[in-house]
Amino acid sequence: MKFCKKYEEYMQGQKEKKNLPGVGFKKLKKILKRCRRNHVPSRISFTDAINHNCSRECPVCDGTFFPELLKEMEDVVGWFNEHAQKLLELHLASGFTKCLTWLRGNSRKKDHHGLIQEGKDLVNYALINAVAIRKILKKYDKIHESRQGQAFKTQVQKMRIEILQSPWLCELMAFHINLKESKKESGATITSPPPPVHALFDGCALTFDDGKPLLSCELSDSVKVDIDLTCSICLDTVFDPISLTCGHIYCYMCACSAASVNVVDGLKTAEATEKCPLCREDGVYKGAVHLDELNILLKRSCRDYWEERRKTERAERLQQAKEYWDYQCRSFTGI
Amino acid sequence: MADERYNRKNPAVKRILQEVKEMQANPSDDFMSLPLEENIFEWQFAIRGPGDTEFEGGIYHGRIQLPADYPFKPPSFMLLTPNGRFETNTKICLSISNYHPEHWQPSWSVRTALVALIAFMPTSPNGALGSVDYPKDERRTLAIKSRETPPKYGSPERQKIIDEIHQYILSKATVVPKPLPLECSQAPSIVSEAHSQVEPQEAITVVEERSIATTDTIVDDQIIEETAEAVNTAASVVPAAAPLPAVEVVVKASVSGEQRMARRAAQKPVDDRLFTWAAVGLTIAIMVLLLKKFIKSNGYSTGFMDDQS
Repeated sequence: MKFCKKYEEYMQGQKEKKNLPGVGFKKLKKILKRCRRNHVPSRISFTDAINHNCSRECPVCDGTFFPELLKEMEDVVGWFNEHAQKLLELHLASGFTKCLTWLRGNSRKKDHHGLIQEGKDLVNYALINAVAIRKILKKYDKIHESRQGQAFKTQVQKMRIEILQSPWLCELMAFHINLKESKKESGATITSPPPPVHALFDGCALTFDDGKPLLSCELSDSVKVDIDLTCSICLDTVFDPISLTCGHIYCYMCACSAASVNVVDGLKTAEATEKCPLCREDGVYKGAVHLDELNILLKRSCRDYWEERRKTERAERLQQAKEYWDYQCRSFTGI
Repeated sequence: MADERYNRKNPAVKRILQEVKEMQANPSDDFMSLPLEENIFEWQFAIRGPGDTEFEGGIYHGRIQLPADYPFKPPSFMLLTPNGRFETNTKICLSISNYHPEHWQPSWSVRTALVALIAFMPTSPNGALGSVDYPKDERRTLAIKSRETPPKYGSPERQKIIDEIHQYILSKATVVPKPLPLECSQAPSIVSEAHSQVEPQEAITVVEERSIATTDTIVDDQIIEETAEAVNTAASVVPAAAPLPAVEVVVKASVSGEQRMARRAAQKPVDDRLFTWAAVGLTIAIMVLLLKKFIKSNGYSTGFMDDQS
């Protein structure tokens, strides 16, 4: 009950600034309440039939509840991914691209603190919506005494519109840590503004437990997001990390080798039948996302390892490029 | 200390060293494996027979060969102790071994492979390569015998590792459950009863085995065909390299790479005009470059002759 109020306050606050897609928490709760009201009187007369019927399916709810929730989840994930990508492009842009972006978007605030705040807002948005979705599904299962909610969640993860699965969330967390650290480096000249009212997430941290890198983010609601940054192929900290569409993170070189493609061609040329080494889902290489912010974060956090790895991988890429162009020459000349 | 010997820049070696560290940090009671000092791609292992089966209490030694491009290709497994489920001194066919590289996942490791091997022990072989199907009492006899002495295999260094592993597993393994004298007297009647009860199931099992054996035969034929195709491909590549003896080594080194490129090129033809013209231009440029290279390598006389023509 109190989460609903908190969520509504947050969404109201956000809607004042811009028109955000969100989970219609109140509307969905109304649907569930109506369903509960309909079921209560008939339970008295036909207990066995209703129990049997209830545990299976509820056609009234399934007809309106899940399609609506699905559509809202798609909107939320789409909006989040789009804006995260824009923000990160702005931050990672350099030279001519940055100048071009500056000319185009004059009104946008580009100072350090503005970027930090915007990144924080995006992470807040992602996490609060994830919590809202989780709670509404739990409530659904509670009312109907069923497993439909969990099944729906699993199906949604397969369709890749689970917001916590998004690689951009990982990027934003790394982005947040990067900006905070660079802020410290540049000195505390900027005075911090009063903390926002809806500060749900206490901050991100990159920790090394027994040599294993872990990117963790904790909500005040005791919900925690942990992302393991160990490549499961080379069993080392990820270097030049890339996230497949199923959400698993690998080194770029390891992913290319696993997909049997050359580094020069890139993962875009991988076959549709190539599978993720962990979850064996096929067709996950084409939409892979380079996690550049995470790479910067790892470079800063463990510099010695990063430099050593960079030398090794540079030599290997050079060799692969040589092989590639040798092959191209031979194929053109027909020798 | 020993790690400094190996070339740590090789990704396969790095991966294997990581696995060795992880194995030593988290030892298991069910298995143990160690690489040889001289060759890190050669491992010796021993597994404990799974509980509640006729293999219980047995200690089975084996050998693992990791490929050069591990973990992107599967290793091969060979058992050295007679066990009644797999042949000895023969590479065994499993979904985790190099007989089926398409099933292998780079995220698997030696540890997961050994766990899978222990789980495969009680299953029915169904005519798979490298498998045998002994009766249960014979398997139990082999299990008891396997505890007494480790197998004799390979060089003295390897034998030392085998003995070390045997001692470790022996200290961890449980005792073989031995049949009591009372049960011995009742055994014939129990066996006869079990036999009479199981008779209809055996018929069903026989039918299943036949159908599965047929499937395995088809699968084996496909494997043989694939091998033949691979051999043909390799044979076809070699004559092409013959005209250029200097480039021969390079060609052989990148045979697998060429196969990948060839497949990809064949599967994605580009018919666009722009690409065609770009390809023509590139071809001309490359030919010019090769011509220059040819002139330089063959000296002044060849250049002179070329100028004449």
